[in-house]
Amino acid sequence: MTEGVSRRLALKSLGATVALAAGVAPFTVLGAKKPRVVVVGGGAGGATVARYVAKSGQVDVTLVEANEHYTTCFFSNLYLGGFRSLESITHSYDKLAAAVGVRVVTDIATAVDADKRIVRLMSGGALAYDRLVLAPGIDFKYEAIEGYGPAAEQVMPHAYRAGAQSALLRRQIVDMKDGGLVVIVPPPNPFRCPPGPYERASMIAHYLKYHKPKSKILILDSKDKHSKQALFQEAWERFYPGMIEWLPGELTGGVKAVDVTNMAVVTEDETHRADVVNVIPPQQAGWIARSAGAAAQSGWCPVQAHNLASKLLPDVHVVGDSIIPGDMPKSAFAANSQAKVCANAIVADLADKQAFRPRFRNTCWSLVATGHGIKVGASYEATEEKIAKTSGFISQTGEDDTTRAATANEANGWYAGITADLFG
Amino acid sequence: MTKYTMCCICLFVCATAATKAGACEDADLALGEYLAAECTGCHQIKGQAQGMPRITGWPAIAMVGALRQYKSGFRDNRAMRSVAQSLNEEEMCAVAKYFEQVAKRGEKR
Repeated sequence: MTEGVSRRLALKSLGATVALAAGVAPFTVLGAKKPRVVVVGGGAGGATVARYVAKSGQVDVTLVEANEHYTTCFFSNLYLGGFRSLESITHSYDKLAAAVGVRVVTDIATAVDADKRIVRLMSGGALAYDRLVLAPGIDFKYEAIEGYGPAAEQVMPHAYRAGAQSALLRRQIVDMKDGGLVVIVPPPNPFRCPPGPYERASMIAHYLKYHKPKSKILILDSKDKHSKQALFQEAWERFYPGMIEWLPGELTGGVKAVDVTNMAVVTEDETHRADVVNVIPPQQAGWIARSAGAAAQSGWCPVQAHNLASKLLPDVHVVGDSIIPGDMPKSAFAANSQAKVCANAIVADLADKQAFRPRFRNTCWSLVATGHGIKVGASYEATEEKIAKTSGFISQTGEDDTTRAATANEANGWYAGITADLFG
Repeated sequence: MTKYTMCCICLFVCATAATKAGACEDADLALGEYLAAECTGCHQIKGQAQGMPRITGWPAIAMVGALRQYKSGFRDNRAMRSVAQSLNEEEMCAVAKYFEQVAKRGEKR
């Protein structure tokens, strides 16, 4: 045995010992020169943080994501309406890894040790970090609706995490008889994509109008008003007259229970039988954020507005749908915007680069019919208290068709743009 | 006054103002890169135009002119008006210069 080999072996066994003591894989303990950032969750928030931190070239970035491919929840309503294929809204992480050197790990984060700064993984490995970014998106509060849960969602899909659930809902609508009833149960505030359930009603109506025109859609809301309400109602009267009925919370009292055997939805006073039921349950921050201790009693994560640092855990940032976002909505656009502020702050801290004034922006486009789009958006700034709105805009009722067509075109452009920013 | 005349006057005024800003020669490119991230949530850094206009490769002076026109409402797009209203002259120059340079060196992404 040469000296070189024995030295390597000695180092290897030293590594193993240290790893055993710390409970982590050796490669994460030995020899990391650059500061390390671990990002959990590869959606609009997580993929953006990973790219923009890695782009600095001065930080090692590892992205932990459960799925090899990501199907975007945004634009999944267009799949339901027949405007998009599921493939066209599904993306791989290969380019993100190749373009900026993000190490993508297909795994599930099972625990965070904030004192030791370690994330444990389902596979048994672990990752040490200098900064951790949690971007797990949403989880559902299944228990809020009696009879609903992981089994019931196979019968009454939520389709609010895109992929298999979207495909199931689409198939149910396609298989439904003409003259059938589709019930949509939107969640109470706050929830991902505030216009989402209502854009979904529009897209399902678009499909039904051409394929099963005697069918109806009933929206059993728990809220008395919703995003872009006047714009959606105007569009429904024009494009789908008599097809969509929206009942506010003051009439329904909210949905209390579902019965998957009898395809029934139970509100305060009534039981509605339906052919297809889309239950979008009340929501909370993704599990890992809650189990790590980054979430408050409300189930959402409080953060500092200027850098998205957790108010509850040291060296941890949270971005996207999981946070309490001040005046921002929970949207992919907002997550992408927060992630850039977060990445700028992290790189400034770890690599001694200049930090710029935080700026936030959001725009939510909705497609309501072929070539007919509406939008709402705003600018925001960081205050001591929260991410605060500075100005906003919304499409107007009665706009001409040219404007609506331009908005629909812009929406498609945004999808191409943001997915290039995330996965390109 | 015809719309055409209005247009000419406006373009002239904008161009003159941009020239006075020195065609953004002193632009802060680090600031520009940071601000550009706000644009690349919609507009593609590689320059493809799919429903959103291409914004790479413009002379900085032209982009500053366009941003001013959005800010004043002369160019009509509410999302872009909101963007432009959040930028001061220095920031417009910084982001415009960044996108001018990106196209020249070909951003690696």
